[in-house]
Amino acid sequence: MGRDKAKVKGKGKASDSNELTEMGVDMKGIKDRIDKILQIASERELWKQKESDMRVLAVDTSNMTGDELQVILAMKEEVKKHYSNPSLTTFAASHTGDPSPISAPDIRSPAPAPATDFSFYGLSGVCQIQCKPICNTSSKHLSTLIVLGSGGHTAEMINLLSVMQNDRFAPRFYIAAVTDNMSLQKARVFENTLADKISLQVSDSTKFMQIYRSREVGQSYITSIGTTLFALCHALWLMLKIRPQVILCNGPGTCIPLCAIAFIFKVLGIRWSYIFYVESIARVKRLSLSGLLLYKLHMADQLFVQWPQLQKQYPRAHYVGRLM
Amino acid sequence: MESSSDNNFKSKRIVFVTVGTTSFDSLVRSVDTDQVKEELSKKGYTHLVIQMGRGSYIPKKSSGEDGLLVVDYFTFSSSIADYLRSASLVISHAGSGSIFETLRLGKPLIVVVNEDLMDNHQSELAEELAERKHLFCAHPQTLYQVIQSLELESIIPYHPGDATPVAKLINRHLGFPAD
Repeated sequence: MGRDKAKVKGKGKASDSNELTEMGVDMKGIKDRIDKILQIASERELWKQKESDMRVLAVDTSNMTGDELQVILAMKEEVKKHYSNPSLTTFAASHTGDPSPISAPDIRSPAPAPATDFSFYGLSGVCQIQCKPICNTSSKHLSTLIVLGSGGHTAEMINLLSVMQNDRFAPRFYIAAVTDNMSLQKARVFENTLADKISLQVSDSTKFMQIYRSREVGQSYITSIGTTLFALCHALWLMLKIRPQVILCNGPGTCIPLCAIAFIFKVLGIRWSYIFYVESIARVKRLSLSGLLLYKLHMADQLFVQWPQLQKQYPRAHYVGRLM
Repeated sequence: MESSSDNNFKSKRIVFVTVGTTSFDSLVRSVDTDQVKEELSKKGYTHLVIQMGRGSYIPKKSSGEDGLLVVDYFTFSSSIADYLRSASLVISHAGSGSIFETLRLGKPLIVVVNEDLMDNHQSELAEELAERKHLFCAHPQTLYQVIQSLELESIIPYHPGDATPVAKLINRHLGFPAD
């Protein structure tokens, strides 16, 4: 039932996703196609970005006072500065009408859309960036995927999100397991309180999604082979759709397929996503299986632990103190 | 008679037992023994409320006529926080959600570790926090002894953690300027 639903959902761009299932048969062809899909997506993203920038410029400030006015003025200034950059004039000019296809070099140009900077680097690019991971992101915001675990995991994640600069980490995509009906609700409550603080509506760009799990508690191992494959495909589909620049996760296993795909994308040069993993506070002496996988395979850009004992055992981890 | 029940109401001291979303029969069974109930009564507690989750062991209800504990139970509730708030002592399973919710409310807490769980990493957290004297750690069999030797004065209040170091490191890694 749920499976059918996902298939139907995928039908929108059915040709793309069907082609993807040939993965492993013809990697080169697939990569080209993925590139093409990503290119189309980034064009859309560019267009969306421009649209929201124009909306900022159009905001009427005559009735505003105090902080609100300051914020809006600063945003306008930012947008104006952004479009006065000479390298972007072609971009701005070509986007006065309908979103029209733009050529690949345009997308590569330095500043326009935050989403595209690392998209088209090859493997050499991956290595190059790996040497100096700090890029100039001062004026940008990064699309962020937040993987919610369950119960205690979600509570810890919300605690973390509440101290992060939510204007930098936007748009935000929340993912929780299909069987977990509490976590997304908690995320919605959190987003609502954020919106209340700046007296705005929850942004349309914030999305809440569900992901199929590879194995439910008590499921037999034979059927779990099928569900695992299915869950992987679903994760791949979601990752292609979201293409996050930042992935925040803190276990349990739900985040593994997503992180693995992000890592493969990175290696293939399809997409550069920073992966941050925060080990649960419940882990005092040993890392969880998810944490261990991300640590041993160097998949996480940074791995945080909440107890000093753990940091001694896993020196590459960062000790950050308790989140709860 | 009436005045005594009035007094009872005023000095109501509730022990709240919670097992979380699963079942933890050995905890409920251990709490429901006469030994434990008598000891709680001796310590001045008047009510025992048990959240038993999916457990199959049903504790004995009691309205406390014979001067013993008033015992009540339920399976699940959306207002666990209210029960925690009204309690004078919390006896909980070792889930991190329950532990930190109770600690944040500043309630004395006995965490009972479920030994039936396969991958039992939960005891790690309870033992660590017990070592730091934020709570008491017990097993279903040792609950009686822990209650007997309960010294609420020895508890060190728990100060909630802070997530800003993580946010700072992430920001720095991404090249965002520090605030």
